Order: sequence, then C-alpha cells, then structure tokens
Amino acid sequence: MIGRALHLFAVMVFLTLFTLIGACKGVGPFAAGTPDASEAVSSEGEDGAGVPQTFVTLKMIMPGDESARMREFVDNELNERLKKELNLKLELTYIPWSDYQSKLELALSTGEDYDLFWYGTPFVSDYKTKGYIQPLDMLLQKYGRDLTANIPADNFKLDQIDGKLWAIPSQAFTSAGKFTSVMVRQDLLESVGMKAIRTISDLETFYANMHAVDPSYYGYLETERGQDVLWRELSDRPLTFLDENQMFAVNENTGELVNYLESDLYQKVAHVRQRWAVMGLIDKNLVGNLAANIDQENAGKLLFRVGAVSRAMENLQTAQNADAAARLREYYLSPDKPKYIAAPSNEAYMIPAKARHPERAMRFMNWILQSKEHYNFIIYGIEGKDYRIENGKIKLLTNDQLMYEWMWRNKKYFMAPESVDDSVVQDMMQNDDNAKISRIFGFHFDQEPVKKEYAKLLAVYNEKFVPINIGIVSYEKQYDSAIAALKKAGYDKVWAELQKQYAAFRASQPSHAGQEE
Amino acid sequence: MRSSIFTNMVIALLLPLTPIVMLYAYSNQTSSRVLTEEIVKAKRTQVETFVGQLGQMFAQFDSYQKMLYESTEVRNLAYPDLLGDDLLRFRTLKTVSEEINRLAGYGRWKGVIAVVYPKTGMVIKSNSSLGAVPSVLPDKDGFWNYRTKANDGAYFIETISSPAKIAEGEEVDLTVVAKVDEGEIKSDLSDIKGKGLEDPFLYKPGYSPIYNYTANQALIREILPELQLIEHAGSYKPLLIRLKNGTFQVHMEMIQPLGWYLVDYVRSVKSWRPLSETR
Repeated sequence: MIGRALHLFAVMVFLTLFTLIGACKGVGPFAAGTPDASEAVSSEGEDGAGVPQTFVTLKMIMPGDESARMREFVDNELNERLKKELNLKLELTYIPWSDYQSKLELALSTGEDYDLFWYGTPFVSDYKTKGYIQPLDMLLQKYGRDLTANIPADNFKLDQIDGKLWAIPSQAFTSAGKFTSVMVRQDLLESVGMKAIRTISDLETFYANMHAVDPSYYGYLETERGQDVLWRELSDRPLTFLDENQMFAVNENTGELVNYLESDLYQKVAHVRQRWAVMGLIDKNLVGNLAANIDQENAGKLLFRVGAVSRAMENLQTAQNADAAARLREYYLSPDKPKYIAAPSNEAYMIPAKARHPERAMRFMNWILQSKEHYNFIIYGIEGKDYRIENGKIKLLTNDQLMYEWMWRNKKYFMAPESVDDSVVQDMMQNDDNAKISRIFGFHFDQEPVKKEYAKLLAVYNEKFVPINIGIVSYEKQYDSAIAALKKAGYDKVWAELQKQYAAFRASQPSHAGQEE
Repeated sequence: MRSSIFTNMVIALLLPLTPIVMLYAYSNQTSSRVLTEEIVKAKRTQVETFVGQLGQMFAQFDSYQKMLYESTEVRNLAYPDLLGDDLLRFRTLKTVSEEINRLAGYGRWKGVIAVVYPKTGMVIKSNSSLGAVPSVLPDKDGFWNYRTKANDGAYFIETISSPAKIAEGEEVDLTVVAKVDEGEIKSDLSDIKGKGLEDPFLYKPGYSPIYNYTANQALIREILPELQLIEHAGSYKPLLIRLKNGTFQVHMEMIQPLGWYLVDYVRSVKSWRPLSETR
C-alpha cells in the first residue's frame, strides 16, 4: 500500500515538473500560442514594457556630413531616449555624398559589423545579388507593426525580389517623375525677368541673363545624372531609365526596352551637354570635384539642379542659409507630357547580412514611425529648442539638419516647413495627380548571370561615356571608340540578358489598362 | 596569587595574539597598498590608451597630409598650364578628389582633409559642408593649432604649403589642410566616459577645456587651478587634489601632437590617501 502511494506520488511529481518545464518553454498544452513563421527570428528578452533587456550599440551608416547639432543630439537627447525605450545606443557613421557608394560597398563587402544603412531603391537588387543584405520578412512581421501600418503595402512590393523583402521603403509620399524635373532658384529667375522654366532654351536663357548680372553664379549641379530631365523635351517617346547608370530605358508607350546609348536621343543629349560646357553653364572647374560643387550650392551660387519632387522644400533651408531671400521651385520640361511612377519610394533601408543586431535595427525603424511625436523628435529634434509648430507648420529654430526628413517622409505625419511657399507644397502634394504607373515598377535586373561583363561595362562607361555625358568631350570625337570599347566589354551580352529578364517580368505582369502595346 | 594567575592568563593569551595582530596589520596595509596601486595602474592604462588613440589619429592625419602634399596630381592642379586639355584636367581633379575622400574616410575618426589653391580659388575637400574648411587659413604652416572662431566653431588645424609658408602674407600655390572639429573630440570623450574613464576632458593652460557632453563642468573648473600648479611644478604623476567637496585622484597625460592633456579624475577613498598630496 505504502509502495503504491510512493509510486503514485513520484508519477505526480514527474508530471508536475514536466508541465512546469513545458509551460516555461512555451510548448505543450500550456503554450501561449502556436508556433508561427516569426519564430525563425531569434527572440530578445523583454521587460514588462516590451523593452529589450540587453543593451546594444546599433551601428548605422548615413550619407552626407553630420551637422554639429545632429552629433550633439545623438550623443545626448536621442541616445538617452533610445536607451530608455529600446535599450540601445545609436552610433552613426557618416560617409560624404561624393564617396558614399564606394565606401558603403567597401564596408559591406568586407563584412564590417554595421546594423543598418540607407540607399536608393535601385541598389537593392544588386546588394541582394552580392549577398550584402538579409531578407526582412520575419523581422518586419515581428517588430515592424508600425512600419506596415504607415507605409502602403504596394510600396513594399518594390523591394521584394524572389518572394522576399530586402529593404524597408522608408518614404511614403508622392513620387511620380522623380529626378526628371529641374529645381530652380525662383527668386533669381524672377530677378532676370523670367517666371517659369518650360524648355531647355529657358534654362540657357536663365543662365546667360544671370551670368551677365553676376558671373559668380554657375548653372547646373548634377553632371553624371539628369539626362532624363532633357528627355521630356528631346524625345517624342516617354522613356524611363531602367538602371542607375543610365544605359537602358523602357518606352512607356510600347513597353519595349530601349538601348539608350545607341539611340539618337543619346546623341541629342550629349550635344546639349557639350553646348552647356562651352557656354559655362556646366563649370569645368567644378566637374569632378563634387564636394566643391555641393559647397557652391550651399553658398547659394547654384541656379538649377535635378529636382526630386520635393527638393524645392528640402533644400530651402540650405539655400536660405546662404541667401535669406532664396526661393526654390521645381519644373518639368514639356509639362503637358505624362509623369510615371517608377518607384513609390526611392528610399530603401537595408540590414546587412552580417549585422549583429538585426532585430534592434528593425525595432529602431519601427520606433521612428510609431507616432508623430517620435517622427518629429528624430527629424526635427526637441520641440521648443530645435523647432516649433506654428499653424500646423514646422518652424526650424536651428540651421543644422538632424535625420534627413526626406528619408522618412510620410503622408500621415508630414508637416510643411513654414518657410516654404504654399505653391511649392501644393506642387508636391499634387505631383502624382494623373500620373501613370511605370512599366518597370517592381522590375529588378539580376546581374548575376552577366556580372563579369556588367562590372567591365561600368568601368568602360565611367572612363569613356561620363566625359561625353558631362560635355567636356565631344560626342563626335569620342563616341565611336567609346561604344566599341563597351561592346568589347560585353555590352551585347548584358543587353540580351536584360531583355530576357524583362520579357519574363512582363509576362508575369497584368496588362496595363490605358497604355498602348 | 589570584592576580598572578590572571596576569599569567592574560600574558598567555596576548603572547600568541600579538604576532597575529601584527601580521594582520601588515597584511591589511599591504593589501590596501597593492589595491590602490592596481587601481591607479588600471586608471593610468585607460588614460594612456585613449591618449595613444588620439595621438595616433592626429599622426595619421599628418601622414595623409604629407602624402597629398607629395602627390604629382595635387601639385599639377596648381599649374593650370600643365593641364591644358579639359579631359586631363577633369581626370586629375577627380583623382585628387577621390584620393582625399578615401583618406578622410579611413578608420572611424572623422576629420576634414582639403587642398586649397589660393591663386585659382579652387578647394578640393573631403567634406561638402560650407564651413568644412575655414575661409581664412593660419598665417603660417604649422602643426596642430587650436582655433576658435565665431562662425567656424572650434577645431584643431594644421597646414603645409608649397612653397612653404613661413611668414604672414607669403603667397603659396597650394596648401594641404587637415582639420578635426572640437565636436569630434567631445563625442569621443563622451564615448570613453562610458568605457572606464570617469569624467575625461582635454586641457591646455590658457585655453578653455574641451569637455565631454555630460561633464561636471563646475567641479572641473575647481580642479583646473590645481592642474596649473602641477604643471608649473613639472609633475604629471597621479596626484590628489583636496577640494571642499572631497579629495580627487587626478590623472593627466599629454597628447603629443596637440600639446593638450587628457585629464580624468576620480573621487578618492581613504585608502588612497598615501599617494602624493598637493597641499
């Protein structure tokens, strides 16, 4: 009898222990929920308020130059708050714009332990192919609730490749025709008796008139991009660039790919650029010296540059630092022609494959969009010290920039700066009205099958074509040898592969209503 | 008789206890001394390590500056006649610009490297901010100089020119500039504050100290007069400074390329008192 009772007692003890262990591990009948896909992400211990228990340093790469106030803000107010709310310290490494791509890629390829970085959407596919970044689906599902709540679902499709998400499209705002407009110093334009820019000739007249008044002004900032600004006037076909390097395009009417470098259009663009270099609109002393180029813009000496839908608002603070009377406005050449949305967000936040704290990187991004208060805090700083809200607009109290507003601009939280004209804000808000979705929306060229040829192609392009693009070498003098070198590097093979992948992409897309085939 | 027994008992007890008490006292004193020495040594190592890092950073900028100074491309840009062809000029400019950016981006230290060509007004620099390079450079070439200007903020700067600028007003063809903003130093002082040092700051007699972001500036201002005295005495050993609100052990070490001292202080406990005293 006693023996049976002891036996029964032992079994009870065993069962109790088993149940307790099971409950603690989250399995068995007392588990809190059923296992799901998110469990593939390693979980962090959290306190009652959901703050991770381990303190970490989150290393992030940012483009540009850190302002004095940003450095002070990160070291003090921001990190103090991030310690409390996310138990992390943010460590920013700024890489100057002029060298951003090369230094970023050096850091990624050598496996430096950064946790987060920003770049343009066109680079996502390349970095995925090179194994620099990691998929974010599970992290987003587990830690990105406010990102998915505040960024439209369609925007995420842009960064999906092979069924996985590779970047967070951080900006959620108007974007049609991005980088195909010109941003102009409106105050200077009006000072020489002009009202608006509609043609290439208008730009040249603006420069000539302004230069006659004060030769210290120079014309144009970007020389290695912005060819599509001119396309709106020079081409009778609506084209959209397919690649960041400006070699291939798509005809939005027919959906066909265009071999741009071998087209008549390229020759026309080269002639305009050469004319600009001769007349001084492109300053030969500044090409090749990007930091000085930007410096001149900061000094208020720039007449126009490539627009970006909202650049007239973004750059106003800089322009007014140099000249309090400065006003900016964006124009499209041939404004009646349609605009296309190739990427609803050109801004992509990626987590490196070798990041030490990917969960915390996702939590940090989510934190930014968690509330308007967080959003304002990281972008504008301390209310009353760095900014004030006046009549629903932001009044900046410091000239130093903190987190770039454009990186995280969001329709839900956006407030216009009080210094920006209402007309500029209206341009921006109405930019996407009647815009069309581009044929290349969601297309990513996988360079892997032709990566050797593509690398050679870029080297030849930079050596032979860039001098033509910026107008310091004539098309007639250099083009034949340049295209021959490009062909030798494997241009035709890359072109064939691109056509193959694009055809497969188009076959998988629903037909575009309202667009010719 | 009774007292004799009591006395004997006391003696019998004290005799074995006396060496034990003496041994205990000796051991305690030795432990206290060793502990104090170890604490001082550890603190000293931390100070020396950071001073070494800072010194290395500035020395690195020195060498980058010399490399640029010796570069053929950098020199050729000073003489536009050598670069008559637009393409050659573009390529030379791009090469120098890329080289400057590459050098400035090595390591985690952030400084500005630039080449200034006064005759053509051209500036090639690693940082595109308007005030990255001061509009007025030092009158003469020299090693790290600390400057505070209302519009440019505070920074360390060194210049080397071709031909060498040894007197004010001399014309040069080019000047290679290296500059580190005070903010970078503050940021790193704040960083090491969380990694072992108590409240580090940079100090040079005659200048305002460079504090970390959360420094106890009032206390440091009280410590400063003592540091001046010590400097005059020519001694930089760890020392004790007595103030009305406590006694502080102070470490200081010179950052050779700058001529500034890294100073850190710790509130002293009683066992540290045997160290050298200043008053």
